[in-house]
Amino acid sequence: MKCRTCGKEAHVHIRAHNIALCGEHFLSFLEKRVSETIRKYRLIRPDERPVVCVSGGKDSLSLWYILHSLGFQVDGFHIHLGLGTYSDNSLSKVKAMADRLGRSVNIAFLEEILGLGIRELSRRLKRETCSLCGTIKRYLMNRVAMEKGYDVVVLGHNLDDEASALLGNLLYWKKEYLWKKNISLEAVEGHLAKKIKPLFLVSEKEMACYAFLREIDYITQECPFASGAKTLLYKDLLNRVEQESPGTKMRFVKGYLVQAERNGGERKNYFCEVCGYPSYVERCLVCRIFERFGDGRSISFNTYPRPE
Amino acid sequence: MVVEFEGKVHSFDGPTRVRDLLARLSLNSEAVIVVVNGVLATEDRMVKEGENVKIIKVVSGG
Repeated sequence: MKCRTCGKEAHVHIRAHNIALCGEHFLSFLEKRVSETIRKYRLIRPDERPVVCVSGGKDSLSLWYILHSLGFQVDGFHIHLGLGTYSDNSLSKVKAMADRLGRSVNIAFLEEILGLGIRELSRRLKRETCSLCGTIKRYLMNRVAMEKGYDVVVLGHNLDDEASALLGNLLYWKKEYLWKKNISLEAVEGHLAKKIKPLFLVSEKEMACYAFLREIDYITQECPFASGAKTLLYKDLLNRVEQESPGTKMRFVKGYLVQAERNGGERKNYFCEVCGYPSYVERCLVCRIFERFGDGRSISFNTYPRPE
Repeated sequence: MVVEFEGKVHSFDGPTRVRDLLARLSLNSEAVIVVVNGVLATEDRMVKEGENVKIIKVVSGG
Protein backbone atom coordinates (compact mmCIF):
# COMPACT_ATOMS: atom_id res chain seq x y z
CA MET A 1 0.00 0.00 0.00
CA LYS A 2 1.39 3.41 -0.98
CA CYS A 3 0.92 6.82 0.60
CA ARG A 4 -1.66 8.76 -1.38
CA THR A 5 0.32 11.98 -0.93
CA CYS A 6 3.96 11.02 -1.56
CA GLY A 7 3.83 7.48 -2.97
CA LYS A 8 6.18 6.06 -0.32
CA GLU A 9 5.23 3.01 1.74
CA ALA A 10 2.00 3.64 3.68
CA HIS A 11 1.93 3.06 7.43
CA VAL A 12 -1.70 3.87 8.17
CA HIS A 13 -4.75 2.75 6.23
CA ILE A 14 -7.92 4.62 7.16
CA ARG A 15 -10.65 2.48 5.69
CA ALA A 16 -13.44 4.88 6.63
CA HIS A 17 -11.82 7.52 4.43
CA ASN A 18 -10.46 5.00 1.92
CA ILE A 19 -7.01 6.48 2.22
CA ALA A 20 -3.52 5.13 2.98
CA LEU A 21 -0.77 7.44 4.18
CA CYS A 22 2.83 7.35 5.37
CA GLY A 23 3.47 8.39 8.96
CA GLU A 24 4.41 11.97 8.15
CA HIS A 25 1.39 12.61 5.95
CA PHE A 26 -0.99 10.84 8.33
CA LEU A 27 0.07 13.21 11.12
CA SER A 28 -0.60 16.29 9.03
CA PHE A 29 -3.87 14.75 7.71
CA LEU A 30 -5.17 14.19 11.23
CA GLU A 31 -4.02 17.54 12.62
CA LYS A 32 -5.64 19.29 9.66
CA ARG A 33 -8.94 17.49 10.29
CA VAL A 34 -8.94 18.52 13.95
CA SER A 35 -8.12 22.09 12.93
CA GLU A 36 -10.98 22.07 10.39
CA THR A 37 -13.40 20.69 12.98
CA ILE A 38 -12.45 23.50 15.37
CA ARG A 39 -12.95 26.08 12.62
CA LYS A 40 -16.14 24.61 11.11
CA TYR A 41 -17.94 24.24 14.44
CA ARG A 42 -16.35 27.39 15.93
CA LEU A 43 -15.11 25.42 18.90
CA ILE A 44 -12.45 27.84 20.13
CA ARG A 45 -12.76 31.53 19.32
CA PRO A 46 -9.61 33.69 19.25
CA ASP A 47 -10.52 35.46 22.50
CA GLU A 48 -11.24 32.25 24.41
CA ARG A 49 -8.88 30.57 26.88
CA PRO A 50 -9.13 26.77 26.73
CA VAL A 51 -8.22 24.08 29.26
CA VAL A 52 -7.93 20.46 28.14
CA CYS A 53 -8.99 17.67 30.49
CA VAL A 54 -6.25 15.06 30.48
CA SER A 55 -6.67 11.61 31.97
CA GLY A 56 -3.24 10.30 30.96
CA GLY A 57 -4.76 8.23 28.13
CA LYS A 58 -3.87 8.42 24.43
CA ASP A 59 -6.79 10.59 23.33
CA SER A 60 -6.55 13.46 25.80
CA LEU A 61 -2.74 13.62 25.78
CA SER A 62 -2.67 13.52 21.97
CA LEU A 63 -5.37 16.19 21.84
CA TRP A 64 -3.30 18.44 24.12
CA TYR A 65 -0.33 17.89 21.81
CA ILE A 66 -2.40 18.62 18.68
CA LEU A 67 -3.92 21.82 20.10
CA HIS A 68 -0.46 22.99 21.14
CA SER A 69 0.87 22.20 17.65
CA LEU A 70 -1.99 24.16 16.12
CA GLY A 71 -0.88 27.20 18.11
CA PHE A 72 -3.44 27.20 20.93
CA GLN A 73 -2.18 28.20 24.38
CA VAL A 74 -3.72 25.36 26.35
CA ASP A 75 -3.23 24.33 29.96
CA GLY A 76 -4.24 20.91 31.25
CA PHE A 77 -6.58 19.73 33.99
CA HIS A 78 -6.22 16.34 35.64
CA ILE A 79 -8.25 14.61 38.35
CA HIS A 80 -6.38 12.17 40.57
CA LEU A 81 -9.09 9.70 41.59
CA GLY A 82 -7.15 8.06 44.40
CA LEU A 83 -6.97 4.67 42.68
CA GLY A 84 -3.46 3.74 43.83
CA THR A 85 -0.83 3.05 41.18
CA TYR A 86 -3.37 3.50 38.36
CA SER A 87 -3.97 7.11 39.41
CA ASP A 88 -0.29 7.75 40.19
CA ASN A 89 0.82 6.41 36.80
CA SER A 90 -1.85 8.46 35.02
CA LEU A 91 -0.65 11.61 36.75
CA SER A 92 2.99 10.95 35.85
CA LYS A 93 2.04 10.67 32.13
CA VAL A 94 0.16 13.97 32.37
CA LYS A 95 3.10 15.69 34.04
CA ALA A 96 5.47 14.34 31.39
CA MET A 97 3.30 15.87 28.65
CA ALA A 98 3.13 19.19 30.53
CA ASP A 99 6.95 19.17 30.60
CA ARG A 100 7.13 18.24 26.91
CA LEU A 101 4.83 21.07 25.89
CA GLY A 102 6.11 23.58 28.44
CA ARG A 103 2.56 24.09 29.74
CA SER A 104 1.08 23.84 33.20
CA VAL A 105 -1.55 21.45 34.47
CA ASN A 106 -4.11 21.98 37.23
CA ILE A 107 -4.53 18.92 39.39
CA ALA A 108 -7.43 18.01 41.66
CA PHE A 109 -6.67 15.27 44.19
CA LEU A 110 -9.94 13.65 45.21
CA GLU A 111 -8.44 12.38 48.45
CA GLU A 112 -7.43 15.95 49.33
CA ILE A 113 -10.83 17.36 48.44
CA LEU A 114 -13.09 14.72 49.99
CA GLY A 115 -10.75 12.83 52.27
CA LEU A 116 -11.26 9.63 50.27
CA GLY A 117 -10.82 8.23 46.78
CA ILE A 118 -13.52 7.30 44.28
CA ARG A 119 -13.62 3.60 45.25
CA GLU A 120 -14.27 4.34 48.92
CA LEU A 121 -16.68 7.16 48.12
CA SER A 122 -18.70 4.82 45.89
CA ARG A 123 -18.79 2.23 48.67
CA ARG A 124 -19.82 4.73 51.34
CA LEU A 125 -22.56 6.26 49.18
CA LYS A 126 -23.66 2.88 47.78
CA ARG A 127 -23.56 4.35 44.28
CA GLU A 128 -22.25 2.84 41.08
CA THR A 129 -18.61 3.95 40.66
CA CYS A 130 -18.54 4.96 36.96
CA SER A 131 -21.64 7.10 37.19
CA LEU A 132 -20.42 8.76 40.39
CA CYS A 133 -16.99 9.33 38.84
CA GLY A 134 -18.61 10.98 35.81
CA THR A 135 -20.66 13.30 38.01
CA ILE A 136 -17.64 14.37 40.05
CA LYS A 137 -15.50 14.85 36.96
CA ARG A 138 -18.14 17.07 35.30
CA TYR A 139 -18.40 19.14 38.48
CA LEU A 140 -14.64 19.58 38.88
CA MET A 141 -14.12 20.36 35.18
CA ASN A 142 -16.71 23.10 35.42
CA ARG A 143 -15.30 24.37 38.69
CA VAL A 144 -11.70 24.62 37.50
CA ALA A 145 -12.88 26.55 34.45
CA MET A 146 -15.00 28.94 36.54
CA GLU A 147 -12.37 29.50 39.23
CA LYS A 148 -9.30 29.69 37.01
CA GLY A 149 -10.87 31.80 34.28
CA TYR A 150 -10.92 29.27 31.44
CA ASP A 151 -13.62 29.87 28.81
CA VAL A 152 -13.59 26.46 27.15
CA VAL A 153 -13.30 22.96 28.61
CA VAL A 154 -11.79 20.66 25.98
CA LEU A 155 -12.59 16.95 26.12
CA GLY A 156 -10.79 14.10 24.33
CA HIS A 157 -13.85 12.01 23.46
CA ASN A 158 -13.30 10.35 20.10
CA LEU A 159 -15.64 9.00 17.42
CA ASP A 160 -15.79 5.56 19.02
CA ASP A 161 -16.63 7.02 22.44
CA GLU A 162 -19.49 9.00 20.91
CA ALA A 163 -20.76 6.16 18.73
CA SER A 164 -20.80 3.70 21.63
CA ALA A 165 -22.54 6.17 23.95
CA LEU A 166 -25.09 6.87 21.23
CA LEU A 167 -25.70 3.17 20.68
CA GLY A 168 -26.21 2.69 24.42
CA ASN A 169 -28.69 5.56 24.56
CA LEU A 170 -30.59 4.13 21.61
CA LEU A 171 -30.65 0.55 22.83
CA TYR A 172 -32.23 1.61 26.10
CA TRP A 173 -34.11 4.61 24.62
CA LYS A 174 -32.59 6.98 27.13
CA LYS A 175 -34.52 9.95 25.83
CA GLU A 176 -33.19 12.19 28.61
CA TYR A 177 -29.67 11.79 27.18
CA LEU A 178 -30.37 11.02 23.55
CA TRP A 179 -30.26 14.49 22.01
CA LYS A 180 -27.84 16.03 24.47
CA LYS A 181 -24.60 14.91 22.90
CA ASN A 182 -22.90 17.36 20.63
CA ILE A 183 -19.56 18.47 19.43
CA SER A 184 -19.96 21.64 21.46
CA LEU A 185 -22.05 22.65 24.44
CA GLU A 186 -22.35 26.40 24.84
CA ALA A 187 -21.66 28.16 28.11
CA VAL A 188 -24.37 29.40 30.45
CA GLU A 189 -23.09 32.56 32.09
CA GLY A 190 -22.19 31.99 35.72
CA HIS A 191 -23.32 28.35 35.67
CA LEU A 192 -21.58 26.35 33.01
CA ALA A 193 -18.36 26.67 31.02
CA LYS A 194 -18.43 25.90 27.30
CA LYS A 195 -17.45 22.29 26.52
CA ILE A 196 -16.05 21.06 23.24
CA LYS A 197 -14.95 17.75 21.71
CA PRO A 198 -12.54 18.36 18.81
CA LEU A 199 -11.98 14.58 18.30
CA PHE A 200 -15.69 13.90 17.78
CA LEU A 201 -15.07 12.68 14.23
CA VAL A 202 -11.66 11.02 14.73
CA SER A 203 -11.64 7.27 15.38
CA GLU A 204 -9.96 5.58 18.31
CA LYS A 205 -7.64 3.71 15.97
CA GLU A 206 -6.53 6.94 14.30
CA MET A 207 -5.78 8.41 17.72
CA ALA A 208 -3.72 5.35 18.66
CA CYS A 209 -1.73 5.68 15.41
CA TYR A 210 -1.21 9.38 16.14
CA ALA A 211 -0.01 8.71 19.70
CA PHE A 212 2.35 6.01 18.46
CA LEU A 213 3.84 8.15 15.69
CA ARG A 214 4.25 11.17 17.97
CA GLU A 215 5.78 8.93 20.67
CA ILE A 216 3.22 10.08 23.19
CA ASP A 217 3.70 8.16 26.41
CA TYR A 218 0.20 7.34 27.63
CA ILE A 219 -1.22 5.01 30.24
CA THR A 220 -2.12 1.64 28.74
CA GLN A 221 -3.45 0.20 31.98
CA GLU A 222 -7.25 0.19 32.02
CA CYS A 223 -9.22 1.87 34.79
CA PRO A 224 -9.86 -0.85 37.43
CA PHE A 225 -13.59 -0.31 36.92
CA ALA A 226 -13.56 -0.59 33.12
CA SER A 227 -13.67 -4.37 33.08
CA GLY A 228 -17.06 -5.55 31.89
CA ALA A 229 -18.20 -2.00 31.13
CA LYS A 230 -20.94 -1.81 28.50
CA THR A 231 -18.97 0.84 26.62
CA LEU A 232 -16.41 -1.84 25.72
CA LEU A 233 -19.14 -4.19 24.53
CA TYR A 234 -20.70 -1.49 22.34
CA LYS A 235 -17.31 -0.54 20.92
CA ASP A 236 -16.67 -4.15 20.05
CA LEU A 237 -20.06 -4.47 18.32
CA LEU A 238 -19.52 -1.27 16.36
CA ASN A 239 -16.01 -2.33 15.34
CA ARG A 240 -17.37 -5.60 14.00
CA VAL A 241 -19.81 -3.67 11.84
CA GLU A 242 -17.07 -1.22 10.86
CA GLN A 243 -14.81 -4.02 9.70
CA GLU A 244 -17.50 -5.31 7.33
CA SER A 245 -18.71 -1.88 6.34
CA PRO A 246 -16.04 0.84 6.72
CA GLY A 247 -17.36 4.29 7.53
CA THR A 248 -20.37 3.10 9.51
CA LYS A 249 -19.31 4.71 12.79
CA MET A 250 -18.69 8.01 11.03
CA ARG A 251 -22.08 7.92 9.28
CA PHE A 252 -23.79 6.97 12.56
CA VAL A 253 -22.32 9.93 14.45
CA LYS A 254 -22.57 12.44 11.62
CA GLY A 255 -26.18 11.38 11.04
CA TYR A 256 -26.82 11.87 14.73
CA LEU A 257 -25.50 15.46 14.56
CA VAL A 258 -28.01 16.22 11.79
CA GLN A 259 -30.86 14.57 13.71
CA ALA A 260 -29.88 16.33 16.95
CA GLU A 261 -30.10 19.65 15.14
CA ARG A 262 -33.68 18.81 14.08
CA ASN A 263 -34.90 17.03 17.20
CA GLY A 264 -32.83 18.51 20.01
CA GLY A 265 -35.07 21.50 20.61
CA GLU A 266 -34.17 24.21 23.03
CA ARG A 267 -32.04 23.14 25.92
CA LYS A 268 -33.73 23.58 29.29
CA ASN A 269 -31.28 24.30 32.06
CA TYR A 270 -31.83 23.63 35.71
CA PHE A 271 -29.28 24.58 38.32
CA CYS A 272 -28.30 23.50 41.80
CA GLU A 273 -29.48 26.06 44.35
CA VAL A 274 -26.23 25.71 46.30
CA CYS A 275 -23.42 25.72 43.70
CA GLY A 276 -25.35 26.99 40.67
CA TYR A 277 -24.04 24.25 38.39
CA PRO A 278 -26.36 22.18 36.17
CA SER A 279 -28.60 19.82 38.14
CA TYR A 280 -32.08 18.35 37.83
CA VAL A 281 -32.58 18.40 41.59
CA GLU A 282 -32.51 21.34 44.02
CA ARG A 283 -29.17 20.36 45.52
CA CYS A 284 -26.83 18.54 43.18
CA LEU A 285 -25.19 15.27 44.15
CA VAL A 286 -21.76 16.85 44.57
CA CYS A 287 -23.09 19.49 46.98
CA ARG A 288 -24.75 16.70 48.96
CA ILE A 289 -21.43 14.84 48.98
CA PHE A 290 -19.70 17.97 50.29
CA GLU A 291 -22.13 18.02 53.20
CA ARG A 292 -20.75 14.66 54.32
CA PHE A 293 -17.19 14.66 53.04
CA GLY A 294 -14.69 17.50 52.79
CA ASP A 295 -15.49 21.15 52.39
CA GLY A 296 -16.58 22.20 48.94
CA ARG A 297 -16.39 25.92 49.62
CA SER A 298 -12.71 26.07 48.86
CA ILE A 299 -10.99 23.58 46.61
CA SER A 300 -7.29 23.99 46.08
CA PHE A 301 -6.28 23.01 42.58
CA ASN A 302 -2.61 22.09 42.61
CA THR A 303 -0.51 23.38 39.76
CA TYR A 304 2.32 21.56 38.02
CA PRO A 305 4.94 22.82 37.54
CA ARG A 306 4.60 24.79 40.75
CA PRO A 307 4.49 28.52 40.10
CA GLU A 308 7.81 30.20 40.96
CA MET B 1 8.18 -14.82 13.64
CA VAL B 2 7.42 -13.58 17.11
CA VAL B 3 4.13 -11.77 17.72
CA GLU B 4 3.61 -9.97 21.02
CA PHE B 5 0.10 -9.11 22.16
CA GLU B 6 -1.05 -8.11 25.63
CA GLY B 7 2.03 -9.51 27.34
CA LYS B 8 1.82 -12.87 25.56
CA VAL B 9 4.20 -14.06 22.87
CA HIS B 10 2.91 -16.07 19.91
CA SER B 11 5.04 -17.78 17.29
CA PHE B 12 4.00 -18.12 13.67
CA ASP B 13 5.71 -19.40 10.57
CA GLY B 14 6.32 -16.75 7.93
CA PRO B 15 6.01 -15.11 5.59
CA THR B 16 2.46 -13.95 6.17
CA ARG B 17 0.44 -10.78 5.81
CA VAL B 18 -0.59 -8.66 8.81
CA ARG B 19 -4.28 -9.24 8.04
CA ASP B 20 -3.74 -13.01 8.20
CA LEU B 21 -1.93 -12.70 11.54
CA LEU B 22 -4.89 -10.74 12.92
CA ALA B 23 -7.31 -13.35 11.60
CA ARG B 24 -5.32 -16.15 13.23
CA LEU B 25 -5.50 -14.30 16.55
CA SER B 26 -9.21 -13.47 15.99
CA LEU B 27 -8.49 -9.74 16.23
CA ASN B 28 -10.45 -6.96 14.62
CA SER B 29 -8.19 -4.57 12.70
CA GLU B 30 -10.33 -1.65 13.92
CA ALA B 31 -9.43 -2.46 17.52
CA VAL B 32 -5.64 -2.77 17.24
CA ILE B 33 -2.59 -1.26 15.63
CA VAL B 34 0.25 -3.43 14.38
CA VAL B 35 3.91 -2.50 14.70
CA VAL B 36 6.52 -4.44 12.71
CA ASN B 37 10.15 -3.88 13.72
CA GLY B 38 9.09 -0.70 15.52
CA VAL B 39 7.19 0.75 12.54
CA LEU B 40 3.40 0.98 12.04
CA ALA B 41 2.18 -1.51 9.46
CA THR B 42 -0.90 -1.67 7.26
CA GLU B 43 -2.86 -4.91 6.87
CA ASP B 44 -1.31 -5.79 3.52
CA ARG B 45 2.26 -5.62 4.92
CA MET B 46 4.03 -8.96 4.41
CA VAL B 47 5.86 -10.06 7.56
CA LYS B 48 8.93 -12.16 6.97
CA GLU B 49 10.54 -14.79 9.12
CA GLY B 50 12.63 -13.17 11.86
CA GLU B 51 10.70 -9.90 12.01
CA ASN B 52 9.23 -8.73 15.31
CA VAL B 53 5.54 -7.94 15.49
CA LYS B 54 3.82 -6.09 18.30
CA ILE B 55 0.05 -5.74 18.37
CA ILE B 56 -1.34 -2.90 20.48
CA LYS B 57 -4.96 -2.74 21.60
CA VAL B 58 -6.49 0.66 20.94
CA VAL B 59 -9.89 0.34 22.58
CA SER B 60 -10.29 1.81 26.02
CA GLY B 61 -13.06 3.09 28.17
CA GLY B 62 -15.29 2.28 31.01
